[in-house]
Amino acid sequence: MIRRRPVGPALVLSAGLLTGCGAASSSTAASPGPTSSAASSPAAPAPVASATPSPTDDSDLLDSAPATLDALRASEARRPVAVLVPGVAQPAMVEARTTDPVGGGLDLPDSAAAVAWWASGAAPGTAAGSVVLAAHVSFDGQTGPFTRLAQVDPGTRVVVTSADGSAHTYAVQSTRSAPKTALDRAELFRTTGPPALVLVTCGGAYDRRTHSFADNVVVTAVPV
Amino acid sequence: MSRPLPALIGAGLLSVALPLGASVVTATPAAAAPGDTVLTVVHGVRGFVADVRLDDKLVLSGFAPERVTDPLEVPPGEHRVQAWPTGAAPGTAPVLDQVINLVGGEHVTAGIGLDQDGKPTITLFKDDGLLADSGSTALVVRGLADADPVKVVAGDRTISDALGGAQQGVQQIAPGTYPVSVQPANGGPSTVPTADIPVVAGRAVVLYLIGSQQDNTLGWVAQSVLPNASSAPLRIDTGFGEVPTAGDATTTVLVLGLPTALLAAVALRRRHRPLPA
Repeated sequence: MIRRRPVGPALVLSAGLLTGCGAASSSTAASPGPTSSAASSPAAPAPVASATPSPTDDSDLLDSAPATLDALRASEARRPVAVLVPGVAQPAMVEARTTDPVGGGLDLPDSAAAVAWWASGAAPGTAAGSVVLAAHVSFDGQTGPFTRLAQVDPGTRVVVTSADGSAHTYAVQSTRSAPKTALDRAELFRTTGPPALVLVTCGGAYDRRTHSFADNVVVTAVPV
Repeated sequence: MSRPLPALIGAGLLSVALPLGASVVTATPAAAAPGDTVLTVVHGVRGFVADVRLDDKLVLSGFAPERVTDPLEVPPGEHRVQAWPTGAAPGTAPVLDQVINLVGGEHVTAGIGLDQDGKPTITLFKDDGLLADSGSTALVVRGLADADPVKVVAGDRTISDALGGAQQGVQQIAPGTYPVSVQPANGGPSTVPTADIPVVAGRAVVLYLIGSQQDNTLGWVAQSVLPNASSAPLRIDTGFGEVPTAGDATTTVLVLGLPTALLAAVALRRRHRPLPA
C-alpha cells in the first residue's frame, strides 16, 4: 500500500519558486533529451548487509499518484468552466489561459464577461496549490463578473464548476488590494502548499492615459 | 527478475563518495537548498511493487507500477538507487541497483522501465525546457519499454519518428484532445491501441511507453509537467477602460444630470436676462 504524506509547501515546482532553483530559463530549446550519463550508468554496486528492503520509518516516504491515462483524463476534466461569486456577480464562464510569452502578463480574454483560469496552475479539487481565476474589472465600457469583487464579504461561498460537472466550494478568507507592480507572485501562483482559490481583478486609481488601474484586488478562499 | 550484480565494483569504493546511511535526501522543504535537483519518479514496470532506497534511505514503500511520485529534493551529484519487491526477505539482492548522476537546479524525472534484456532500469529525463516559452503547451513521449523503436503520431503531428528506450520526442502543440497512435518505426501492425490524450494549455503532457514488445504488453503511463515557477505571469492587467457607472442611478444623476441641469439653468437665465438699456 502506498503511504501518503501531506504535500508540503515546497515539494513541487515552487521549490524553485521559493528557493530560486527554478530560475532555469523556460525559453531554452525543447527536446533536451535524456541525460545520458545517468541513463547509461553501468554501475551496480554489490549489495551490502545494511541495505535491506524492510521499512523502518515512513515519515519521509514519498507520496505517489496514479499515472494512468484514465488519471490524466480525470485530471483534465477538473479544469474549471464556471464560477459563481454570490452577492457580487452572476455565474460566469471560465476559459483556460496561460502566461503571454510576449508581455509576460496573464493572457486575459478580450471580454468583460469571461474569466481566465491560469491553466499552468492548480485545477479545482487538486490536493495542492492555488486555483487562480482572473477577470477584467471592466473592458471597453462593459462590466463583468468581478467588477464588484472588492465588496465580497468574508465567508462568502464561492462555487467553481469543473468540466466533469463537479462543484467545488470555497469560503472567502481575505480581500486585499496591492499595487500591480508589487504582485506577490510566489504566493499567488502557488503549485504546491495548501489548496486555495484566488480571485483577481483590478482596482485603485485609474490612469486615463494608459487605460489601466494601479492595483490588483486579490480575494483568497479556501476549500470547505 | 533478479539482476546479476557485477562484483568488481566494491561497496567501499562507492562509500567514499556516498557514505551509506547518510541522510542527504529530504522530502521536506525546510532543508531544500537552491542547488538541489527536483526529482520525480515514474514507475513503468508492471507487476513490480517496489520498496525503493536512495542512498540507503527508504523513500518509497509499496511503490506500485503506473504511479508517479511527488517531487523529491536531492543534492546534485551521484546517488545510488536500489529497489526490491515489497516484502522481500532482508538481505535479498536488489532487483534494481544503479547509480544516477543529478545536475543541480534541474527538474528531472526518473523513469523505472525495462532495458533491452527485459530487466528493470532507470532512465533520467530532464523536465526543464519541455515548453518552448512561458505560454506554451507541449506533448512529449518518452521510452521506457523493452521494444523496437516506434513512431508516435498525435492527430496529424508526428511526435517521434523512432522512439526507443531512453529516448524522447517533444512537440509544441495547441491545447486539445489528440488521438495518439503507435506504429513500429520499421513498419508492421501496431500493438498499442490508439488513445485519446487530453493536453491542457500551459503544461507538458508526458507519455511514457512501457511494457514489453515480446510479451505484447506495450502501453502508456502519463505525467503532467507544469512550467517552472519563473513562467508564472508577471502581472494581471484586469482592466481596460474605466468602470462604467450607468448602473448606479445616483451617480448617473450626479455625473450626467448635474451638468445638464446647470447648462439648462444658464440657458434659461440668458433667455430671461433683461436687454441692456
